[in-house]
Amino acid sequence: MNDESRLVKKALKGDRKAFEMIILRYQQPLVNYIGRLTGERETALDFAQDIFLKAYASLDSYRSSFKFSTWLFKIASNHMIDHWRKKRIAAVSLDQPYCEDNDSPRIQVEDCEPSVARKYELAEIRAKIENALDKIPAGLRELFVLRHVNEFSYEEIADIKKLPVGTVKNRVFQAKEMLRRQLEETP
Amino acid sequence: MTCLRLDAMDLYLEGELSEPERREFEEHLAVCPGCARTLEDRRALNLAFSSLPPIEVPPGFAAALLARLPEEPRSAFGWLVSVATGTGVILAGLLGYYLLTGESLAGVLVSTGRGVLGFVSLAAPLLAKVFKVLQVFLALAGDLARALVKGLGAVSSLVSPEVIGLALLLGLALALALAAGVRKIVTQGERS
Repeated sequence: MNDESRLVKKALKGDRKAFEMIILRYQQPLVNYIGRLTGERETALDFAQDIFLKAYASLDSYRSSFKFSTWLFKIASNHMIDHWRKKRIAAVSLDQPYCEDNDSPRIQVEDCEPSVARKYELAEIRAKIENALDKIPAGLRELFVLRHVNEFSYEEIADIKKLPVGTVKNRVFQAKEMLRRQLEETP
Repeated sequence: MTCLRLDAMDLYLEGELSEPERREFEEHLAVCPGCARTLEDRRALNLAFSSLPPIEVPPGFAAALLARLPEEPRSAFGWLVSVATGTGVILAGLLGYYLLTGESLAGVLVSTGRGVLGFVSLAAPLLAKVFKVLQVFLALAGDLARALVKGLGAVSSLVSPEVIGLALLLGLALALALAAGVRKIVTQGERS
Protein backbone atom coordinates (compact mmCIF):
# COMPACT_ATOMS: atom_id res chain seq x y z
CA MET A 1 0.00 0.00 0.00
CA ASN A 2 1.52 3.34 -1.01
CA ASP A 3 1.65 6.49 1.08
CA GLU A 4 -1.41 8.06 -0.53
CA SER A 5 -3.52 4.95 -0.05
CA ARG A 6 -2.58 5.01 3.63
CA LEU A 7 -3.61 8.67 3.85
CA VAL A 8 -6.92 7.89 2.16
CA LYS A 9 -7.53 4.99 4.55
CA LYS A 10 -6.86 7.24 7.55
CA ALA A 11 -9.07 10.01 6.14
CA LEU A 12 -11.88 7.49 5.67
CA LYS A 13 -11.63 6.71 9.38
CA GLY A 14 -12.19 10.40 10.10
CA ASP A 15 -8.53 11.49 10.38
CA ARG A 16 -8.77 15.04 9.07
CA LYS A 17 -5.01 15.54 9.37
CA ALA A 18 -4.53 12.81 6.75
CA PHE A 19 -6.86 14.58 4.34
CA GLU A 20 -5.05 17.84 5.05
CA MET A 21 -1.83 16.13 3.89
CA ILE A 22 -3.59 15.18 0.66
CA ILE A 23 -4.79 18.77 0.20
CA LEU A 24 -1.33 20.19 0.80
CA ARG A 25 0.14 17.76 -1.70
CA TYR A 26 -2.35 18.48 -4.48
CA GLN A 27 -3.53 22.06 -3.96
CA GLN A 28 -0.82 23.56 -6.17
CA PRO A 29 -1.15 21.14 -9.13
CA LEU A 30 -4.92 21.40 -8.99
CA VAL A 31 -4.96 25.21 -8.87
CA ASN A 32 -2.42 25.34 -11.72
CA TYR A 33 -4.59 23.00 -13.79
CA ILE A 34 -7.83 24.93 -13.26
CA GLY A 35 -6.14 28.31 -13.42
CA ARG A 36 -4.55 27.53 -16.79
CA LEU A 37 -7.90 26.29 -18.08
CA THR A 38 -10.03 29.18 -16.88
CA GLY A 39 -7.44 31.95 -16.89
CA GLU A 40 -8.85 33.19 -13.56
CA ARG A 41 -7.07 32.68 -10.25
CA GLU A 42 -10.12 33.26 -8.02
CA THR A 43 -12.19 30.77 -10.02
CA ALA A 44 -9.31 28.30 -9.82
CA LEU A 45 -9.23 28.59 -6.01
CA ASP A 46 -13.01 28.18 -5.70
CA PHE A 47 -13.11 25.22 -8.07
CA ALA A 48 -10.17 23.57 -6.33
CA GLN A 49 -12.10 23.71 -3.05
CA ASP A 50 -15.17 22.20 -4.72
CA ILE A 51 -13.08 19.44 -6.25
CA PHE A 52 -11.44 18.56 -2.93
CA LEU A 53 -14.89 18.44 -1.31
CA LYS A 54 -16.13 16.11 -4.05
CA ALA A 55 -13.06 13.94 -3.62
CA TYR A 56 -13.60 13.80 0.16
CA ALA A 57 -17.23 12.81 -0.33
CA SER A 58 -16.30 9.95 -2.63
CA LEU A 59 -13.05 8.84 -0.99
CA ASP A 60 -14.34 5.32 -0.50
CA SER A 61 -14.63 4.87 -4.26
CA TYR A 62 -10.85 5.31 -4.60
CA ARG A 63 -9.01 2.04 -5.20
CA SER A 64 -5.40 1.79 -4.10
CA SER A 65 -4.49 -0.09 -7.29
CA PHE A 66 -4.81 3.23 -9.17
CA LYS A 67 -2.76 6.38 -8.82
CA PHE A 68 -4.42 8.89 -6.50
CA SER A 69 -3.36 11.78 -8.75
CA THR A 70 -5.18 10.39 -11.81
CA TRP A 71 -8.27 9.62 -9.67
CA LEU A 72 -8.32 13.19 -8.34
CA PHE A 73 -7.78 14.72 -11.77
CA LYS A 74 -10.62 12.63 -13.21
CA ILE A 75 -12.88 14.37 -10.69
CA ALA A 76 -11.32 17.70 -11.61
CA SER A 77 -11.74 17.10 -15.33
CA ASN A 78 -15.41 16.15 -14.89
CA HIS A 79 -15.89 19.30 -12.82
CA MET A 80 -14.42 21.38 -15.63
CA ILE A 81 -16.59 19.67 -18.24
CA ASP A 82 -19.68 20.49 -16.12
CA HIS A 83 -18.47 24.09 -15.88
CA TRP A 84 -17.98 24.36 -19.63
CA ARG A 85 -21.38 22.79 -20.29
CA LYS A 86 -23.00 25.35 -18.01
CA LYS A 87 -21.16 28.12 -19.78
CA ARG A 88 -21.97 26.46 -23.12
CA ILE A 89 -18.35 26.37 -24.11
CA ALA A 90 -17.68 23.79 -26.73
CA ALA A 91 -14.92 22.19 -24.88
CA VAL A 92 -16.25 19.16 -24.82
CA SER A 93 -15.22 18.68 -28.15
CA LEU A 94 -12.85 16.34 -26.43
CA ASP A 95 -15.33 13.65 -27.17
CA GLN A 96 -15.57 14.68 -30.78
CA PRO A 97 -12.84 13.94 -33.25
CA TYR A 98 -10.51 16.78 -34.01
CA CYS A 99 -8.84 16.77 -37.32
CA GLU A 100 -6.63 13.78 -36.62
CA ASP A 101 -3.88 15.03 -38.79
CA ASN A 102 -1.38 12.27 -39.02
CA ASP A 103 0.47 14.20 -41.65
CA SER A 104 2.34 16.31 -39.18
CA PRO A 105 4.30 19.08 -40.85
CA ARG A 106 7.84 18.35 -41.76
CA ILE A 107 10.41 21.04 -41.38
CA GLN A 108 11.21 23.41 -44.18
CA VAL A 109 14.97 23.42 -44.48
CA GLU A 110 14.98 26.55 -46.60
CA ASP A 111 12.95 28.43 -43.97
CA CYS A 112 15.30 31.08 -42.60
CA GLU A 113 12.71 32.98 -40.57
CA PRO A 114 13.86 32.98 -36.91
CA SER A 115 11.60 30.75 -34.79
CA VAL A 116 9.49 32.03 -31.90
CA ALA A 117 11.83 30.38 -29.46
CA ARG A 118 14.76 32.36 -30.81
CA LYS A 119 12.91 35.64 -31.24
CA TYR A 120 11.98 36.14 -27.58
CA GLU A 121 13.39 35.71 -24.10
CA LEU A 122 12.01 32.77 -22.09
CA ALA A 123 10.01 34.99 -19.72
CA GLU A 124 8.53 36.81 -22.69
CA ILE A 125 7.50 33.57 -24.40
CA ARG A 126 5.88 32.32 -21.17
CA ALA A 127 3.75 35.46 -20.94
CA LYS A 128 2.74 35.04 -24.58
CA ILE A 129 1.86 31.38 -24.01
CA GLU A 130 -0.37 32.34 -21.08
CA ASN A 131 -2.26 34.74 -23.35
CA ALA A 132 -2.39 32.34 -26.27
CA LEU A 133 -3.84 29.53 -24.11
CA ASP A 134 -7.19 31.31 -24.05
CA LYS A 135 -7.35 31.23 -27.81
CA ILE A 136 -7.19 27.49 -28.36
CA PRO A 137 -10.18 25.13 -27.92
CA ALA A 138 -10.77 24.21 -24.28
CA GLY A 139 -10.51 20.49 -24.98
CA LEU A 140 -7.07 20.80 -26.54
CA ARG A 141 -6.03 23.29 -23.87
CA GLU A 142 -6.89 20.77 -21.18
CA LEU A 143 -4.72 18.06 -22.70
CA PHE A 144 -1.87 20.54 -23.15
CA VAL A 145 -2.17 21.61 -19.50
CA LEU A 146 -2.27 18.04 -18.21
CA ARG A 147 0.88 17.26 -20.17
CA HIS A 148 2.96 20.41 -19.88
CA VAL A 149 1.74 22.06 -16.68
CA ASN A 150 0.85 19.02 -14.58
CA GLU A 151 3.43 16.81 -16.25
CA PHE A 152 1.28 13.71 -16.47
CA SER A 153 2.50 10.99 -18.80
CA TYR A 154 0.52 10.37 -21.98
CA GLU A 155 -0.72 7.10 -20.46
CA GLU A 156 -1.97 8.88 -17.34
CA ILE A 157 -3.75 11.52 -19.44
CA ALA A 158 -5.34 8.75 -21.50
CA ASP A 159 -6.57 7.23 -18.23
CA ILE A 160 -7.92 10.55 -16.92
CA LYS A 161 -9.68 11.43 -20.16
CA LYS A 162 -10.59 7.89 -21.22
CA LEU A 163 -8.95 8.38 -24.60
CA PRO A 164 -6.50 6.22 -26.54
CA VAL A 165 -2.86 7.14 -25.89
CA GLY A 166 -2.28 7.84 -29.59
CA THR A 167 -5.17 10.30 -29.65
CA VAL A 168 -3.80 12.08 -26.60
CA LYS A 169 -0.35 12.41 -28.18
CA ASN A 170 -1.86 13.71 -31.39
CA ARG A 171 -4.07 16.28 -29.65
CA VAL A 172 -1.31 17.54 -27.37
CA PHE A 173 0.76 18.10 -30.49
CA GLN A 174 -2.16 19.91 -32.18
CA ALA A 175 -2.52 22.14 -29.11
CA LYS A 176 1.18 23.00 -29.23
CA GLU A 177 1.06 23.75 -32.92
CA MET A 178 -1.95 26.04 -32.39
CA LEU A 179 -0.08 27.80 -29.60
CA ARG A 180 3.03 28.13 -31.73
CA ARG A 181 1.01 29.67 -34.55
CA GLN A 182 -0.63 32.05 -32.09
CA LEU A 183 2.79 33.06 -30.79
CA GLU A 184 4.08 33.66 -34.29
CA GLU A 185 1.06 35.78 -35.20
CA THR A 186 1.32 37.88 -32.04
CA PRO A 187 3.59 40.90 -32.62
CA MET B 1 16.30 12.80 -47.98
CA THR B 2 13.02 12.89 -46.02
CA CYS B 3 13.17 15.31 -43.15
CA LEU B 4 11.76 14.68 -39.69
CA ARG B 5 8.19 15.36 -38.65
CA LEU B 6 7.57 17.95 -35.95
CA ASP B 7 5.46 15.61 -33.82
CA ALA B 8 8.27 13.05 -33.93
CA MET B 9 10.64 15.79 -32.71
CA ASP B 10 8.40 16.48 -29.74
CA LEU B 11 8.14 12.79 -28.92
CA TYR B 12 11.92 12.47 -29.23
CA LEU B 13 12.43 15.38 -26.82
CA GLU B 14 9.98 13.79 -24.38
CA GLY B 15 11.71 10.41 -24.59
CA GLU B 16 8.60 8.84 -26.10
CA LEU B 17 10.21 7.24 -29.18
CA SER B 18 10.98 3.55 -29.22
CA GLU B 19 14.65 2.50 -29.39
CA PRO B 20 14.70 1.80 -33.18
CA GLU B 21 12.79 5.04 -33.87
CA ARG B 22 15.21 7.00 -31.72
CA ARG B 23 18.24 5.50 -33.49
CA GLU B 24 16.81 6.28 -36.93
CA PHE B 25 15.94 9.78 -35.74
CA GLU B 26 19.46 10.49 -34.49
CA GLU B 27 21.01 9.12 -37.66
CA HIS B 28 19.03 11.65 -39.66
CA LEU B 29 19.88 14.49 -37.26
CA ALA B 30 23.59 13.80 -37.69
CA VAL B 31 23.42 14.51 -41.40
CA CYS B 32 20.69 17.21 -41.53
CA PRO B 33 21.58 20.64 -40.09
CA GLY B 34 18.08 21.95 -40.84
CA CYS B 35 16.42 19.30 -38.69
CA ALA B 36 19.05 19.75 -35.97
CA ARG B 37 18.31 23.49 -35.85
CA THR B 38 14.54 22.94 -35.78
CA LEU B 39 14.99 20.40 -33.01
CA GLU B 40 16.76 23.03 -30.89
CA ASP B 41 13.88 25.46 -31.53
CA ARG B 42 11.36 22.82 -30.50
CA ARG B 43 13.43 22.09 -27.40
CA ALA B 44 13.33 25.79 -26.41
CA LEU B 45 9.60 26.02 -27.12
CA ASN B 46 8.84 22.86 -25.14
CA LEU B 47 10.91 24.21 -22.26
CA ALA B 48 8.75 27.36 -22.28
CA PHE B 49 5.58 25.25 -22.46
CA SER B 50 6.65 23.22 -19.45
CA SER B 51 7.82 26.07 -17.28
CA LEU B 52 4.80 28.32 -16.92
CA PRO B 53 4.89 29.96 -13.48
CA PRO B 54 2.65 28.39 -10.79
CA ILE B 55 -0.54 30.16 -9.76
CA GLU B 56 -0.22 31.35 -6.19
CA VAL B 57 -2.23 29.42 -3.60
CA PRO B 58 -2.94 31.46 -0.44
CA PRO B 59 -1.44 30.04 2.80
CA GLY B 60 -4.85 29.54 4.43
CA PHE B 61 -6.24 27.47 1.55
CA ALA B 62 -6.05 24.07 3.26
CA ALA B 63 -7.35 25.40 6.60
CA ALA B 64 -10.34 27.07 4.92
CA LEU B 65 -11.08 23.87 3.05
CA LEU B 66 -10.82 21.71 6.19
CA ALA B 67 -13.36 23.99 7.88
CA ARG B 68 -15.81 23.19 5.06
CA LEU B 69 -15.38 19.42 5.30
CA PRO B 70 -18.23 17.40 6.76
CA GLU B 71 -17.47 15.50 10.00
CA GLU B 72 -16.69 12.26 8.21
CA PRO B 73 -16.37 11.35 4.56
CA ARG B 74 -19.76 10.31 3.28
CA SER B 75 -19.86 6.80 1.99
CA ALA B 76 -20.83 6.80 -1.67
CA PHE B 77 -23.12 3.83 -1.05
CA GLY B 78 -24.14 4.80 2.49
CA TRP B 79 -27.79 5.30 1.57
CA LEU B 80 -27.79 1.96 -0.22
CA VAL B 81 -26.47 0.21 2.90
CA SER B 82 -29.22 1.83 5.01
CA VAL B 83 -31.94 0.82 2.54
CA ALA B 84 -30.57 -2.73 2.29
CA THR B 85 -30.32 -3.04 6.09
CA GLY B 86 -33.87 -1.75 6.58
CA THR B 87 -35.24 -4.10 3.92
CA GLY B 88 -33.31 -7.00 5.46
CA VAL B 89 -34.70 -6.30 8.93
CA ILE B 90 -38.30 -6.15 7.61
CA LEU B 91 -37.87 -9.35 5.61
CA ALA B 92 -36.30 -11.13 8.59
CA GLY B 93 -39.22 -9.99 10.78
CA LEU B 94 -41.76 -11.23 8.23
CA LEU B 95 -39.95 -14.54 7.85
CA GLY B 96 -39.76 -14.96 11.65
CA TYR B 97 -43.49 -14.25 11.95
CA TYR B 98 -44.22 -16.78 9.21
CA LEU B 99 -42.07 -19.44 10.88
CA LEU B 100 -43.64 -18.84 14.31
CA THR B 101 -47.30 -18.59 13.29
CA GLY B 102 -47.32 -20.69 10.14
CA GLU B 103 -49.32 -18.02 8.31
CA SER B 104 -48.56 -17.73 4.59
CA LEU B 105 -46.08 -15.05 3.65
CA ALA B 106 -48.61 -13.35 1.39
CA GLY B 107 -51.06 -13.23 4.31
CA VAL B 108 -48.36 -11.81 6.56
CA LEU B 109 -47.54 -9.12 3.98
CA VAL B 110 -51.22 -8.21 3.54
CA SER B 111 -51.88 -8.06 7.29
CA THR B 112 -48.66 -6.07 7.84
CA GLY B 113 -49.69 -3.64 5.14
CA ARG B 114 -53.16 -3.29 6.66
CA GLY B 115 -51.62 -2.85 10.10
CA VAL B 116 -49.28 -0.12 8.90
CA LEU B 117 -52.09 1.66 7.04
CA GLY B 118 -54.39 1.37 10.04
CA PHE B 119 -51.71 2.75 12.33
CA VAL B 120 -51.00 5.66 10.02
CA SER B 121 -54.72 6.52 9.61
CA LEU B 122 -55.19 6.42 13.39
CA ALA B 123 -51.96 8.07 14.42
CA ALA B 124 -51.91 10.92 11.91
CA PRO B 125 -54.96 12.86 13.22
CA LEU B 126 -53.96 12.06 16.81
CA LEU B 127 -50.44 13.36 16.25
CA ALA B 128 -51.81 16.51 14.60
CA LYS B 129 -54.00 17.17 17.66
CA VAL B 130 -51.12 16.47 20.06
CA PHE B 131 -48.91 18.94 18.18
CA LYS B 132 -51.64 21.60 18.25
CA VAL B 133 -52.23 21.17 22.02
CA LEU B 134 -48.48 21.17 22.61
CA GLN B 135 -48.14 24.40 20.66
CA VAL B 136 -50.85 26.12 22.75
CA PHE B 137 -49.40 24.72 25.97
CA LEU B 138 -45.90 25.94 25.11
CA ALA B 139 -47.21 29.40 24.27
CA LEU B 140 -49.06 29.57 27.62
CA ALA B 141 -46.10 28.22 29.56
CA GLY B 142 -43.86 30.79 27.88
CA ASP B 143 -46.18 33.67 28.87
CA LEU B 144 -46.45 32.32 32.43
CA ALA B 145 -42.69 31.96 32.77
CA ARG B 146 -42.13 35.49 31.47
CA ALA B 147 -44.72 36.89 33.94
CA LEU B 148 -43.18 34.92 36.80
CA VAL B 149 -39.68 36.15 36.03
CA LYS B 150 -40.97 39.70 35.76
CA GLY B 151 -42.88 39.40 39.08
CA LEU B 152 -39.93 37.85 40.89
CA GLY B 153 -37.68 40.58 39.56
CA ALA B 154 -40.05 43.23 40.90
CA VAL B 155 -40.40 41.48 44.29
CA SER B 156 -36.65 40.92 44.64
CA SER B 157 -36.05 44.64 44.16
CA LEU B 158 -38.48 45.40 47.01
CA VAL B 159 -37.86 42.57 49.48
CA SER B 160 -34.62 41.51 51.13
CA PRO B 161 -32.95 38.16 50.15
CA GLU B 162 -33.75 36.65 53.61
CA VAL B 163 -37.50 37.21 53.08
CA ILE B 164 -37.31 35.69 49.58
CA GLY B 165 -35.56 32.60 51.04
CA LEU B 166 -38.22 32.27 53.70
CA ALA B 167 -41.02 32.60 51.10
CA LEU B 168 -39.40 29.91 48.90
CA LEU B 169 -39.10 27.61 51.94
CA LEU B 170 -42.76 28.16 52.82
CA GLY B 171 -43.78 27.52 49.21
CA LEU B 172 -41.83 24.24 49.20
CA ALA B 173 -43.42 23.15 52.51
CA LEU B 174 -46.86 24.01 51.11
CA ALA B 175 -46.20 21.96 47.94
CA LEU B 176 -45.04 18.98 50.06
CA ALA B 177 -48.12 19.25 52.32
CA LEU B 178 -50.36 19.37 49.24
CA ALA B 179 -48.64 16.32 47.76
CA ALA B 180 -49.03 14.43 51.08
CA GLY B 181 -52.74 15.40 51.25
CA VAL B 182 -53.37 14.22 47.69
CA ARG B 183 -51.64 10.92 48.47
CA LYS B 184 -53.78 10.43 51.61
CA ILE B 185 -57.00 11.05 49.64
CA VAL B 186 -55.90 8.62 46.95
CA THR B 187 -55.04 5.84 49.48
CA GLN B 188 -58.34 6.33 51.34
CA GLY B 189 -60.19 6.06 48.01
CA GLU B 190 -58.40 2.80 47.23
CA ARG B 191 -59.37 1.32 50.71
CA SER B 192 -63.03 2.24 50.38
